[in-house]
Amino acid sequence: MDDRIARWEVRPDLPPTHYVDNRIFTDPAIFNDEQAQIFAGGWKLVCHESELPEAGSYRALTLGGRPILVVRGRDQADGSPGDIRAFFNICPHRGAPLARDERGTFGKRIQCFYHLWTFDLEGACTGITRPEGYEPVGLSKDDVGLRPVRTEVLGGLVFVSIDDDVAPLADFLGPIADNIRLHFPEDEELEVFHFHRSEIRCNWKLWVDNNSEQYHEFLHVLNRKTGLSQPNYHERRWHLHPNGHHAMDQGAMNYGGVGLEARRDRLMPGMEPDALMVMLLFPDVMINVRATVMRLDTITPVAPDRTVVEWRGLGLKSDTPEQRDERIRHHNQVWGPAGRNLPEDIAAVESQQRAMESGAFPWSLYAREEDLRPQDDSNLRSFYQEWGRRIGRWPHDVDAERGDEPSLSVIGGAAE
Amino acid sequence: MSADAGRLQDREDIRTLISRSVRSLNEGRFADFIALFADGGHYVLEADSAEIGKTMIWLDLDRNELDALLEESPQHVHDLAARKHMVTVEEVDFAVDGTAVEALSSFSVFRTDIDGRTEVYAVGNYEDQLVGGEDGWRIARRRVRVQTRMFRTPTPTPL
Repeated sequence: MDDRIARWEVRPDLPPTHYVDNRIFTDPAIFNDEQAQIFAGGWKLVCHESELPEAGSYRALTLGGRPILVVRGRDQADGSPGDIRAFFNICPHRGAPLARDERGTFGKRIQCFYHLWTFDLEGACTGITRPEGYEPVGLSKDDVGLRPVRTEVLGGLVFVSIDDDVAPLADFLGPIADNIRLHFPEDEELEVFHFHRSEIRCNWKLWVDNNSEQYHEFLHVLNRKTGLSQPNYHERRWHLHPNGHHAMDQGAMNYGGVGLEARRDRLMPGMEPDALMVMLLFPDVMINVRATVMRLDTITPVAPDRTVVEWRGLGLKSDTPEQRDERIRHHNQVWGPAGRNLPEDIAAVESQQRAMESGAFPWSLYAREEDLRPQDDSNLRSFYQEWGRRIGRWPHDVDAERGDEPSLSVIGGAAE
Repeated sequence: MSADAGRLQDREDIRTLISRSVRSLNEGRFADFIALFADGGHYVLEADSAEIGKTMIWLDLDRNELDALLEESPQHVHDLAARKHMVTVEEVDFAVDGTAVEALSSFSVFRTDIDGRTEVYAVGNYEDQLVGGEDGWRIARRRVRVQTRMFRTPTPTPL
């Protein structure tokens, strides 16, 4: 066979961690396994606490196919904000949704619109319409209530899980929780000022992949001029954590490279002047901070080739209007639906997906070894190894038996 | 020309200006688009978020910043689809002295991909403040309020 053809037909001559079988991006059975083993079975970031500003504030969403309602409870006795809880967004009577829109504020009670049953903000039923009709069968409000959903809040980030037996969030996050505490400290509240979403025509992992890898910074004009040209760009390192999480050291960008102002005042918590920080919480939470503004991404896989991405922009709750305007400007210079980089990222991942679906492109390479420096692929190798562990397959060969075999080392076949 | 006829002419000129603004965007003639703005002119793109209950500013650029963004545009990797704006000028309100005008328009943008498939890309309003001068009417401030919040492909190119 012509060598040029054989290279496309034969498995890459690389360590098995250094390439993936592209069927992981297209196979419906694998997609279903991911839904069950990763998204329905783990912790999911659903919103930031600033989206639930007062008692009764709610957000409604779908997780693993289940309708979820996240609600801020009554203020504490000392006047501090109430606890955040989650329930199925389903009335226990006949299944009508308790919230019919994405956000809003209940009064002191949650009332189902259908038969007007009421519940308190802790989920207990407080009123059944014409309760005497249930007396013959002995059913009262004490026998019904909202179905609670596991909820934990860390640094204002609200996580829920529909797996009642899921391990505590702290166990799942492990050491990367320290990074979260650094950037979401208790003594400086953050606030969401921007939200938008898009349905991208790619597998969800390609979006995570794009967001996490730094090698593709060559794609972006802005990154070429502000980041890649910086003398210390390659001095930063990835930090790989258990369970597939990872974060990279901060590094200063040169925004003057594209005629933009420096970012040295009113820095986001834990940030250095002009610095960029990137963090991934497996499987789908991406946190990017560009010195004065934060971007928080989450994902909802819709189909093997469809992914809804939600983007939030965050500043400090203590911002003056002028400071907030500046943060919004900084956010929009790079991010947001009119930002410079997002259209380029989407063009990249959607074209990748088309290649995967064509069947002409069997393996993708994740083989860069740069001693954990920014363009080392070890963070992605870590992501795919955790992905494989969770769904019981090998990312490099989805047909191979895996059983309970542990994940492979990802630092590099040559390095370890 | 009578005052009424002059006002009618102004209205027609303003409609033409607004039509030119979208045609220049459709055809990627960004320098022509910028030239329709007055010195110190401003472009704002915003949307109301149902999810967080706030108005979001997505672009807020003076003429120079807009010019710089569009000048940089050829260096970016672009959505290969074509876009076509359809605009209807709904109201033109003159200030008492006739030198400043506010115009409200509705627009829709269609996106035609490289296979020739067309879909609605965005809908919204233009809220234009216009000023008259020796060179005719110019845009002092364009506030673009989009109802669309999920774009098939986001873009830094003005709507």
